[in-house]
Amino acid sequence: MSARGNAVHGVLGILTILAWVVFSWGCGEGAVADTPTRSWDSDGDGISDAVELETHNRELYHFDVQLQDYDISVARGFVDAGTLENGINLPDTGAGYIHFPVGDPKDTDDWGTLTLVNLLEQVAREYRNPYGECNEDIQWDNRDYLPRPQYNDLSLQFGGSFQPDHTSHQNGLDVDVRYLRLGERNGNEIPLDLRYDSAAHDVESTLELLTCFWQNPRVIAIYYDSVRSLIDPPTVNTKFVHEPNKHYNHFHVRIADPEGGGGTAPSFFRVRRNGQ
Amino acid sequence: MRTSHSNIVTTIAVVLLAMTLIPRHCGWSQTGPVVAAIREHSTVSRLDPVSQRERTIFRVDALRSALVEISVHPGGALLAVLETSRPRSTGAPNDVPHNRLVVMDTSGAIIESVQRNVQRFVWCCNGERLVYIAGAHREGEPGFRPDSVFLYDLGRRSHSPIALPIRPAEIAWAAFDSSVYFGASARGDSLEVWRLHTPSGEVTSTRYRGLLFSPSGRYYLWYGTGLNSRYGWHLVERASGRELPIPDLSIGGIHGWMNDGTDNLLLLRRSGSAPAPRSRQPRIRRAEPPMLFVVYDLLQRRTVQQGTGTVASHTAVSEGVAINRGGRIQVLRRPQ
Repeated sequence: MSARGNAVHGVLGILTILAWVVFSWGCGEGAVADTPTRSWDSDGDGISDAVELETHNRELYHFDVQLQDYDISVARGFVDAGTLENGINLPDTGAGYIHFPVGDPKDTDDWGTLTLVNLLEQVAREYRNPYGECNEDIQWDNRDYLPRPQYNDLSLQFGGSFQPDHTSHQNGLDVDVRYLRLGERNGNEIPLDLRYDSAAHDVESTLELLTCFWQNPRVIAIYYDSVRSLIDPPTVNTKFVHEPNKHYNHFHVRIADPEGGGGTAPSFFRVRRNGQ
Repeated sequence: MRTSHSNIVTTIAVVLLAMTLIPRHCGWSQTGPVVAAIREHSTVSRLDPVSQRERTIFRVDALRSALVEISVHPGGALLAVLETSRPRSTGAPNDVPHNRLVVMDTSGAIIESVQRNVQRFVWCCNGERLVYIAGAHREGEPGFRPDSVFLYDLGRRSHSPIALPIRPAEIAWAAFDSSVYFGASARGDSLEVWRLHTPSGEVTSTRYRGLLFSPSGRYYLWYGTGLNSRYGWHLVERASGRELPIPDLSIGGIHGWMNDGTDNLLLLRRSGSAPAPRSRQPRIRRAEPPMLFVVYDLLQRRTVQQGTGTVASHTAVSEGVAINRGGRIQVLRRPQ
């Protein structure tokens, strides 16, 4: 072999070693390359550590932050006549959000499908993300000072009627969210009623939060008060429903049934799924 | 010198006496509908739509509570105001807002203070009674836990409970058939409507989907949220249940019935020909656009009256609708 051939082989060898180093970089022992880990999800199974460590979820489903866990929650029936199978409990506090039981006993009204719980955490992360914004119109100097999202009712543990308060919220696809208050700091959140406290409404923070929900493709409807909130819906792809008589102290977000069935439809449609 | 001093003192005394004797509502027009408004969510003011004078007649401590709703008795003799206490903490069970309904005369003297956590109320029975729904506050639809319904007799000052098979969250008086209608949330975001015939006390179920009846009872309106029906207002012929076309949106969006005994609708739209700006995402409404009101005759399907201005917020009228035209309050009603 000539000296030139040796040189070529030497270069190829070095390139091979470099390629191995580059492509294996970051893969720790036992980690799976196609499921990159994230700071909020140690095992990369799409269920956050906060959800997996939540007492009910850990005891009921044996969630583990170091093992691959699966979504076993199912929205049965309809949003207004349904049940929730293997509901996931939303942690009381998580990535920048807080859940308020607002008069209900603790851990009774904060159950949903894993898709809904994941969405609530995702929205809170996006709302807090210092490197991007949901709404193009707003530029934040420091997102650390934003009031945190405050989630109220999701569904009951096994779903079903929330009567006499809600006709929906029955199968883990609905959530109530507070409008945000000016000057609010973590641990000092006071309910906001737009009928008489609109001067205290932090319109920009609420707009950012609403937009984070709106731009998520899983969200199919947002019921809110467009007049008192001073927030106009978009003229295209509007998921917003103006309903002032019921939504002056919160807005209501509904997601599509993650299994693509009729779970989001009202019972009037009588869509049959899952053998029901 | 002493005499001139005494003259000055006498003059001042006479002026002060005259000021106290001259009626405070001097220049107040004595005819026309009674108009009252909530100001800063803490005071109730009587308004004179002719002179635009305003007089505060009732006040609450703004730090402790707020006024959220006002209604004027159809005869103009009384006012009813809903007051709610302000929450001070994060929504703990022992610190949720509590409502009281205050019934007062037009000078602000309290006739009745109902402490039963009133959430919805309506004058009924030719203005002789008032029906209200009580229930605890709740941060969730419809804003409270419907609990009980009472009939308050203004003459006897007595409250009597009404037994209903539902827990209603909405309420309306229908003069055309002397009935109070109650609506409770039902499946598919729809409404289950029950009727209380006040002369007989009979309670019956109805097939109506809403309870915003026109004064004659020929029509009613209901609002669809898009879940099981078209999103927006629906106009229904009450007797047949047939859905009728709503007025074209280019004429205006529905605000409600004219509170003047006619079956006319009040419509609102942006003034000018420029359409609303298109936006790809939700946005903050920095300034209220100039608005145009339209009075629309449903039977003739034509515009009866129109002008610039919008519905005055937190303002109630004994008859008609209060329109805010550049800060001036005008009462819109059928010609007398």
